[in-house]
Amino acid sequence: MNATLLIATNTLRQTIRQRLYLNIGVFGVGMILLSMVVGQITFGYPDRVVRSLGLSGCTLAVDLLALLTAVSLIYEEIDKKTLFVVLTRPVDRWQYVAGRYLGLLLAVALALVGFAVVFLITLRLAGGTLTSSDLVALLAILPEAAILGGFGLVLSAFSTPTLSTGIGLGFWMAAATTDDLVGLTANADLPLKLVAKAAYYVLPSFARLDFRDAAVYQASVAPAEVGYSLAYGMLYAVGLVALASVILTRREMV
Amino acid sequence: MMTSQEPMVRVRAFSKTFYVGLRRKPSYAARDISLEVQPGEIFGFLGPNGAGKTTTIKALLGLIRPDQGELSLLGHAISDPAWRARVGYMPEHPTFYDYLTGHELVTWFARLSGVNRIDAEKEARALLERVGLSQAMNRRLRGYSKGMLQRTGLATALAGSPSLLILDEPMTGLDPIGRRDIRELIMSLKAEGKTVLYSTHILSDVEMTCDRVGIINKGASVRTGRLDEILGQTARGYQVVVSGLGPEALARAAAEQAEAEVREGKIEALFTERAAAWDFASHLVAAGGVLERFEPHRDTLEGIFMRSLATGEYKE
Ligand SMILES: Nc1ncnc2c1ncn2[C@@H]1O[C@H](COP(=O)(O)OP(=O)(O)OP(=O)(O)O)[C@@H](O)[C@H]1O
Ligand SMILES: [Mg+2]
Repeated sequence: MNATLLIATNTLRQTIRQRLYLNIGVFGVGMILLSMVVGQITFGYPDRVVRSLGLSGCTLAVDLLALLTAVSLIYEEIDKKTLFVVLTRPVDRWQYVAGRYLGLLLAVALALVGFAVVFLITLRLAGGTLTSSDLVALLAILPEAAILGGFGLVLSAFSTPTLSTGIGLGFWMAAATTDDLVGLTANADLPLKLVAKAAYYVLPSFARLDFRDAAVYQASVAPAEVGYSLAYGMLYAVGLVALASVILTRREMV
Repeated sequence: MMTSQEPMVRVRAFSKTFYVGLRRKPSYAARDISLEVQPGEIFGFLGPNGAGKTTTIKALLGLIRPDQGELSLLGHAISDPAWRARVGYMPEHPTFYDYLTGHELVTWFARLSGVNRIDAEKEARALLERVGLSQAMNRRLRGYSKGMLQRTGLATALAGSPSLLILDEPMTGLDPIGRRDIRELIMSLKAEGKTVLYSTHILSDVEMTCDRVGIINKGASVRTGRLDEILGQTARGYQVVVSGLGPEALARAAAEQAEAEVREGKIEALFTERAAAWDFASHLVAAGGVLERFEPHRDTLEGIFMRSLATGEYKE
């Protein structure tokens, strides 16, 4: 098996054996189940409540999992010197980074599948039926998590997990609001406007990856739009992985 | 290409400075280190704490970039990945994925070196038995003791059957039995034709295992060569031990001699010339003393080490 795949499968195994994985799993399932309880006690449309709260819970859990796992992916390995031994084997640094990331992505996708199953059961119990817009909303969580994971990976190549988590959360909030930035600063001073404009182009836009409203109101989504969003998210993530590789390649293992 | 004359490890005039903190304060980890390791030998890389052993080893493995100097492994430049599958490395104080069992870990490293799954599993089992972990190999590493992790680290370094092993303090933190086991393992690697470079500051281990040593201090080489030559070169002297004299006579005899001391009712004296030693001994025996010992005095590696450090300091 090729080095990248060996590293990926090992990372997958490592991630799902971590306590964090279980904790976030419990958290996500709890959020989805909570949506059913709330759906029962509010007046009318329990399936809407399940979709709105349940999908948001799924997104939050998967995004958190991606970011919190990613921030220690490389850092921890340098700290424990495992990476030193790995890099003296026939493994290129970019292969190592790609393998770590791929493993993370597999673990995150696995969690998403699990959440999706719980979500669908909950939706059934609330009297809703599965539609294509539900699936789109679930699928669109993946590129968002892929970007957050990629960003965490970049940080983990040079900073501590705690600091990286802080920066990562900031990035997350910014990415969730990029589309509003330009509007909000429309009447601001020029420098602020430029900063907002720059952020708008550099940061990813999670609003473009959010199909939850369409699911809640059962509106149909054009396949091209979904495809575009997925491609956008994955491309952005690939860029981040490339950046992490460049950082690690230049970095000394001290 | 590698010829038969090519050393397995070559370091020439290696230097490396780290810059620490925001003020970029320089830390001279290596100033001028040179060494060569020939095929099939066990090379002891000696130096006190902070001498630059780990820094040199990391540069050899491409983990840090040298500022200056020429480094190669198996005749390949460090930047050339050609040596990778053939060199095994164990860092100091190794820690590994603690969610894996010892067997899973070593299998994984063998596979990273290009061994297929079935052979890798077999090899891992054999290696773990060899380092004395046959009982524990199916337990998670989380529950391993320090000594067990050290042994696991060695098994990991050996995975993929490399021809050169670079071990950073393989015996540190082990009990006497563990150290003996590792020494014997290193000797058996040599018997298989493998080359071993290991760093340490435990001199007795070096005396028992190494063919050649390189002593460094404060980032610079102070002594390299065959162990027997280094031990042989140093001025051999003669040691005389006499007992059975009264305290006064002992003190008087000791005062006459430069390298003599009184210990537990005996006088111990060192001479460079055999004749002078004999004169001294016969003089004391004539005065009623008992000659306990009269023998050539061989220098120990420890003595050489201590003196190298005192005299061989790098001068700017
Ligand atoms: N990353 C680093 N940043 C700053 N200084 C460093 C760094 N690594 C090593 N040094 C300094 O370089 C010197 C040599 O360190 P090195 O770890 O190579 O010593 P060593 O011979 O392996 O010592 P030990 O026997 O304690 O392991 C030390 O003075 C150390 O403080
Ligand atoms: Mg060291």
